[in-house]
Amino acid sequence: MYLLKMYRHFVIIYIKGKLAYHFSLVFELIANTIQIGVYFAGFMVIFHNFYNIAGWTQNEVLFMFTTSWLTYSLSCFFFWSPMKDMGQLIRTGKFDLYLTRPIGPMLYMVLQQFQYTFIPRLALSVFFWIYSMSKLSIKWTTGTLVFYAVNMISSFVIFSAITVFTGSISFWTIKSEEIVSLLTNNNHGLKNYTDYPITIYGKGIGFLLTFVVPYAFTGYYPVGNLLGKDLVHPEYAYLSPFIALVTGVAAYFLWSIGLKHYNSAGA
Amino acid sequence: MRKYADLAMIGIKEHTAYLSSVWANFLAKVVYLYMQFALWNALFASNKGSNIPLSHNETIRYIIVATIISTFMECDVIGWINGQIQSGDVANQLIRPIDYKFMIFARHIGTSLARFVIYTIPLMILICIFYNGELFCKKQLACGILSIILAYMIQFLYSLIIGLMAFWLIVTWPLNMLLAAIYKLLSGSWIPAAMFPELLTKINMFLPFRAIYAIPVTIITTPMSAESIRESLSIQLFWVVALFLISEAAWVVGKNKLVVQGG
Repeated sequence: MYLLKMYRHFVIIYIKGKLAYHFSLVFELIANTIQIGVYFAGFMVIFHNFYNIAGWTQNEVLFMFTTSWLTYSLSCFFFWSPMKDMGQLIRTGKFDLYLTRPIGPMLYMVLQQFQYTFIPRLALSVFFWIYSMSKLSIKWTTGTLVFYAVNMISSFVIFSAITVFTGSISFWTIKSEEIVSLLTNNNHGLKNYTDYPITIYGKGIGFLLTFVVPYAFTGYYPVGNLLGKDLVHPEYAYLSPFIALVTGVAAYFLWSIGLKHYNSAGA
Repeated sequence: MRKYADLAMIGIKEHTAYLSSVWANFLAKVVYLYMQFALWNALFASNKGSNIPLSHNETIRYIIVATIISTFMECDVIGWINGQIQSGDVANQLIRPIDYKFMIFARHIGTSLARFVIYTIPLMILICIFYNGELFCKKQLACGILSIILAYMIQFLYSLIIGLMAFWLIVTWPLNMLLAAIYKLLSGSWIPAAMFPELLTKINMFLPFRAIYAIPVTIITTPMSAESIRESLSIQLFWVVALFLISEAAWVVGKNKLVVQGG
């Protein structure tokens, strides 16, 4: 409970700080909205000429990737900014500051900020999520609802774990920005691969997205199962909670080991 | 000429100073290209027989060539100019006995040359290994290269104009981000312009973006009549002239407005 209180306190301070430059804040949100909006526009343009991809219709694909984007944006509210800055913090030695706090450095870094720039992405995802759902006729029963909800939570954990992973790497290589960009960049990131059914990339990439960087469990497998798609491995659809547990624990350990390994950059 | 060559050299050196990020950038291009390749292949494979403006082969050639061109076409001219105007550094540039715009252009060429060697050539080798088939229309290659040169100039002039907007705007990055998003879609570097719905095509007629990717890439990859090539090239030529005039005007008006903080 006190964590929530603390978080509220921190976020109020953070937003106040940002509101001091309210023009910049508003522009940031508008620019982000347009950036994400153009991505959706491009998606519509691609499907202007085509009706389906690998057996998925436009709305099915839309439903799949907005599901994944939803949890991604939620995860990014908390983890994206601290983990993206890890390289910088360690290079400059500023990470020492977090070690001197009375709460754990990870907790502190997550609580002290709120990455509002993901609000447009979340809002647009919700919009197209509802839109695609209204076009699809998914039979919602208690079973499917629970299945879907559990998978949403799992994909939140998976995304967060991957983000923490990339941040933790900075303890060793001191330059994690490139890895972060390689995974999550809006133009060329590996995450973009999962906006479409992963079967189109062939077996190798499918394996990569399933077992190495398990993005496929945030959308493709569970949603494919929900929509009754012909999955190559239908049993994978039920693995998401398990994968979430594994990646979550692994990320936790990597972070702890990294923390022990950390020697200040000096100064 | 010598001094511009030196400036180009500076561009090369600046770009190669951080070699560690080169690998990541190159890998990013490969990751992106493979995604595009797989996506369009799958789209065509699952929609056989439908009426699509471009053929399967043409589309694949289009996205490959567009990605190759993007490795040396793009450069951070907007960021440079924004930075110099905002920091007041532009005053130091103005007292030099060379033209500011040519100076930036020389640096831009230097960076492009560096990028060409570091990214374009390896990427082309990689594509030669994995893609067997004609990538270019040999007959139109000469026109295509001419078109790329024009596109390069348009891209530069466009960036110059947007960069000079810093004379009027204090915070420039939201505009840059906004335009980058529109640029990505309308230039045709992401989705072949021939695939656009009618409305988008109409809007695009009045904008310079398609002259940067869509026109040169189409000339290189798709067989066209001599007449339509001439038409495409003249559209590009028009934009070179128009953007040049706008950039000159922006420069003259903006320079008078310039107040260097603490200068």
